[in-house]
Amino acid sequence: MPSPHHEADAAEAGTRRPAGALEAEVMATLWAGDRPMTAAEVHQQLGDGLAYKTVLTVLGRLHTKGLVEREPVGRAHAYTPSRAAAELAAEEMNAALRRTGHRTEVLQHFVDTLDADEQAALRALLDSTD
Amino acid sequence: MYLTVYLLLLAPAVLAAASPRLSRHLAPAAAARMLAATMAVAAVATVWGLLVLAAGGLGRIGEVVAYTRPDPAALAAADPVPRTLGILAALLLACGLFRLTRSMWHRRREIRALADLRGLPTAGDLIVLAHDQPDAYALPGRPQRIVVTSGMLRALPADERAVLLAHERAHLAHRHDRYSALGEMACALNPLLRGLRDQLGFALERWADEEAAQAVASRPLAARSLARAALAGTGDGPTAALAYLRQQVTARVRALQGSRPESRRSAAALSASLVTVTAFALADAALALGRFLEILHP
Repeated sequence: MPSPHHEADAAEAGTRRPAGALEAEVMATLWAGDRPMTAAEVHQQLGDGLAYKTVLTVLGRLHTKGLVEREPVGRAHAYTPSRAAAELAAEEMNAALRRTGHRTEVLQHFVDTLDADEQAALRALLDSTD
Repeated sequence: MYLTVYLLLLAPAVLAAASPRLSRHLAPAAAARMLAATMAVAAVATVWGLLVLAAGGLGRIGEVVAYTRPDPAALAAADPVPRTLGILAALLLACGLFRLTRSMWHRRREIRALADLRGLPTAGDLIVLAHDQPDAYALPGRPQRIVVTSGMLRALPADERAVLLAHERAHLAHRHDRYSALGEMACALNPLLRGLRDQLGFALERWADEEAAQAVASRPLAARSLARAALAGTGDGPTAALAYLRQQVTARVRALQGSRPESRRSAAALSASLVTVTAFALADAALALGRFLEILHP
């Protein structure tokens, strides 16, 4: 169930995104970047009708949660995802998997492994459309 | 009366053979619902059929008769189940129930082990793991979480990341974990249903793929995201996965390259009637068991 907090998120982000999705998208964008990004750069990447101020608010919230680190760049801030937070999460995950003792059925993985033929077929698809 | 019982025990085999073929003519969401309903009915039919046979066969054993004191004439008229068949049915039933308990226990343990992850700070519903190996999955339950490795986020461009997140959200929104739990439980009760469980797993992935394609309003984009994620994920990842699962990704990409699937009405009607007939046999066997218990213990 969406909390009032999440509903506020959705209102800020417009009606297109589900609750909490904007925070996730901003976080994913920061991780995908190979260097610190300013709010303007994140805003540019996400684009489509999103207010700059909204992006700034979300970045501030992520910083408060300790998921994002920031350093001053001129009059603005440059943001990087917190490696420590992600490492803590990875440790928690490893500990959980050790406790279950085997490949867990509860989690639904996005993809599984491929053999050589399948790899070739998928590469061909990507080459033809990129 | 006992003809129905044997039909009941035959039903899971018939359903296991027919359903995969029927599910291919259904849209993914309909296919998943159909397969789940089929597995539930087949599992109940297995338990019920074995229960009736076990009661019918064991009801003739001297000690039981001495205890229950049925009318001998009525017993002779009502009960054509050989004793050995009754014992065999009871053993199979005990075996199935043992496997079911074990499977549920494993599941409980997994859910408990993963509970700590929910306490981590999240960006919306997203938890990022610092790990170069690309991987992504949905963590069902309360609160629901999407777990993605940093390697996966780096492997995909922005629009394809949106597909990935939409796919995992579809799993969570439609409670796909419940479907797969049902599949596991049915399989534990009757190993004949293993094929159906794999089909169900595939249908659930396709369902989430279709939802993701709709969320980003592009099937080619969804196909590209899936292909790139699969290629990035291949490397030193787990290789013990079943061959069937390995074929899944290519089949899913191919399905996304085609047009949006729609259910054929004939397949939907046929699968619905198969499940209904089995349910009727179930009801009939229930009445038969009731009558027999009445004779055993008037």
